[in-house]
Amino acid sequence: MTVLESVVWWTTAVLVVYYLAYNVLYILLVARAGRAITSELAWPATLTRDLTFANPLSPGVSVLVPAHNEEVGILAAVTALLDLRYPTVEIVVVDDGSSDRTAQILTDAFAMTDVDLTTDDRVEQEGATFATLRSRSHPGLVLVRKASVGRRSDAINAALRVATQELVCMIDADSLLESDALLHVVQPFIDDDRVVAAGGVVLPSNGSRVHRGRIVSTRIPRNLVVRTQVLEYLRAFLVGRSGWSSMNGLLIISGAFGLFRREIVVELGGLDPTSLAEDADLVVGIHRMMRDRGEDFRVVFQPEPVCWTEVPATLDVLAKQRKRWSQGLGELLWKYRKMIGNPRYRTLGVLTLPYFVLFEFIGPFIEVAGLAIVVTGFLSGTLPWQMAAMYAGASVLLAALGSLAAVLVEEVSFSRYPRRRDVLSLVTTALLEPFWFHFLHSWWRAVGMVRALRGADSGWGVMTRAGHDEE
Amino acid sequence: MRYDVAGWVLVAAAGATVLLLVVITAVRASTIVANRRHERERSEVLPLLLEITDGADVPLPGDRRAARALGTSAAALVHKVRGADRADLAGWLRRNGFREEALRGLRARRPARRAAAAELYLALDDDPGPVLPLLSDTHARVRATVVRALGEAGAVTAIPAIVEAAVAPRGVSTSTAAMAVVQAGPSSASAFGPVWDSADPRARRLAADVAGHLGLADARPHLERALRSEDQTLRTRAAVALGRVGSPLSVGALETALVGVVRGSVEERAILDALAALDSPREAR
Repeated sequence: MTVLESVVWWTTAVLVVYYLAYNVLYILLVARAGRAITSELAWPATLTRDLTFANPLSPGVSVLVPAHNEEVGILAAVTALLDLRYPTVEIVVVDDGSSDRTAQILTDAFAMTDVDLTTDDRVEQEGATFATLRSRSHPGLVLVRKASVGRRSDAINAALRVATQELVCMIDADSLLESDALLHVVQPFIDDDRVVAAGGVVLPSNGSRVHRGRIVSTRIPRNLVVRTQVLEYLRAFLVGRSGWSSMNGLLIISGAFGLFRREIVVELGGLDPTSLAEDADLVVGIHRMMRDRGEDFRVVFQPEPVCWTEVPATLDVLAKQRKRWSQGLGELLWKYRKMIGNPRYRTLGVLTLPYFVLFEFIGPFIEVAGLAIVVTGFLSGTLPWQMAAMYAGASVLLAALGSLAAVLVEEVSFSRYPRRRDVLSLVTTALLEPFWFHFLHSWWRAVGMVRALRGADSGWGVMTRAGHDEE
Repeated sequence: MRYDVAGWVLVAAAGATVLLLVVITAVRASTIVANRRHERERSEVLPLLLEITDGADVPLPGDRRAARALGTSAAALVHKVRGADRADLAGWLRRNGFREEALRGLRARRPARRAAAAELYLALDDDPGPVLPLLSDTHARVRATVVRALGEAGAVTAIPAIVEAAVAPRGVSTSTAAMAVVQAGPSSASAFGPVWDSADPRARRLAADVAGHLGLADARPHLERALRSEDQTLRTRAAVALGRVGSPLSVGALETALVGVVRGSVEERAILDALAALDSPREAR
């Protein structure tokens, strides 16, 4: 056996073992997620949410909305938040150094006037606040105007400093919440005193119809880039997060929609302003703090409440977003490296973090290197084409299987896309994705990880929003 | 051998893909059929429900599926309406044997069924006795559902049991219990009964919170006694509650409590706030 043959053989063997491990873990996650969702759906609609809505002791929620150049969607987003079906809601919008009309639109629409607000100095803020305003028409609506330091986390911290309610809900400026979303996601905090954080499903809103900031008709868009992201989000939320949550090993609560006990976040000092993955950083920080204190706690995921968010519609913007996310994950894993494999941190330490190191951090490098060696082996004739074809076929089918499993979970549980053509569209996207998006995504992730290793600087992502079709 | 492994993986993945595609198609088809059936049943049931809420004694349909659809819809609706409509619906459900069915459901094997049965029973009967054993059900969600349903039904006599469930090792969260008691809406502190003398300070804390929130004037002696408790949290909650109840008669008890309190503590803040609420402000020492 020549050196090249040995390299190709061993690489192939390592790849097979690697993918086998990945797929076994993924199947376990699908099974856990399916069980958790099925068990949830077995409960009929009870009085719970109606009573929470009507009860004066329901915990108040401060919704924190960081906005940076969001003039296209900010009005619809805030209007929808004001219409949320929840008894006590405070909305804190932070205009983080926008150069567009974000603040002006809010000031005009909601009669905002200058006001002094009490701030919690336990949370630090870098960019200076230069104005705080309260709406005359909606007293629960507050606007904080501050200088940007290029980080979403600093904007969230500015909001956190003035938030007054027991629970804080972090969302993005373009997030559109279902009217009952807060009622759903608050319920775990009421039912279980140990719950410190809860996340909900986030799905792409592109292509859907909106009325007064509320999604009234959901559909899978024609744009393949967006369609592929719908599939990704279904995989990540319905399978990934439901599965990890069922083991109390949830690593990420999406920055687009997450609810936390305010005191816990404040005790942590707010979000890490240096982190690009501030949402995951917060959740892992909570796990570490609570375990180090020896306190019993739970971080949960609610599969039903939905937050709709506009996702990138072009490959260029998507690439930047994914590189940034990947860099953030790399930095997070380095920051919390002592927790990796540490049984003190239970499921998160011994399962979730090692999974993210093996399959999210190293994964892109293995894929890119593996593909290069397999192609070399194939071209040099050391890897028989029949075997290369069989492994390629198996890889494509296994990747598609993961997506199809997520589509099935969605169909069995919530069936949020009512048109038959939407399901067909999701299925064809699942079958197409391994041929193009998978490679691009691996490349973007690899670039992000390299940036993390180099400690490169990165700020707010530029997201061009198209807005929604209004009814 | 390597070809065999690759071949097996390929065949297994292809088989699983085809299977998933078939299942997705079948699920979508069954969802469409189920939705159509629900629509049809809804259109049949709606006029009958309107007749029932108008006071008519609509007979249970002879067809089993139609009878089940009407019963299920009426049972769901009885929680959502108030006043005469609710009384008419509850009366119709009782006359057609749904109270007895709910009683049987309390012993069902499936937790979700027990919870739904408890909700329905409490909507149809004033006596909470049969559902109280479910406060120590093995399933947490059943316990929480029962506590909420007791609150929604205004079962004031069940308040001591609800508070007890909040401090039991296998009970409900304090938030759930407190919200249920508020929902039940007791008009007197006596509704808490033995809770005021409970050896568990957590039970008395909950009673103090709720009494303060509801402004129960006759809770004042219990709250003033709680100011002398060894439990600092209870003392703090009692001070807050006295501020909310708002009786000037509590000023003396609060001033006495202020004497021995740690300076700068949460308890001191609570007492000072309560005194301020009673128009008897004091400076922080």
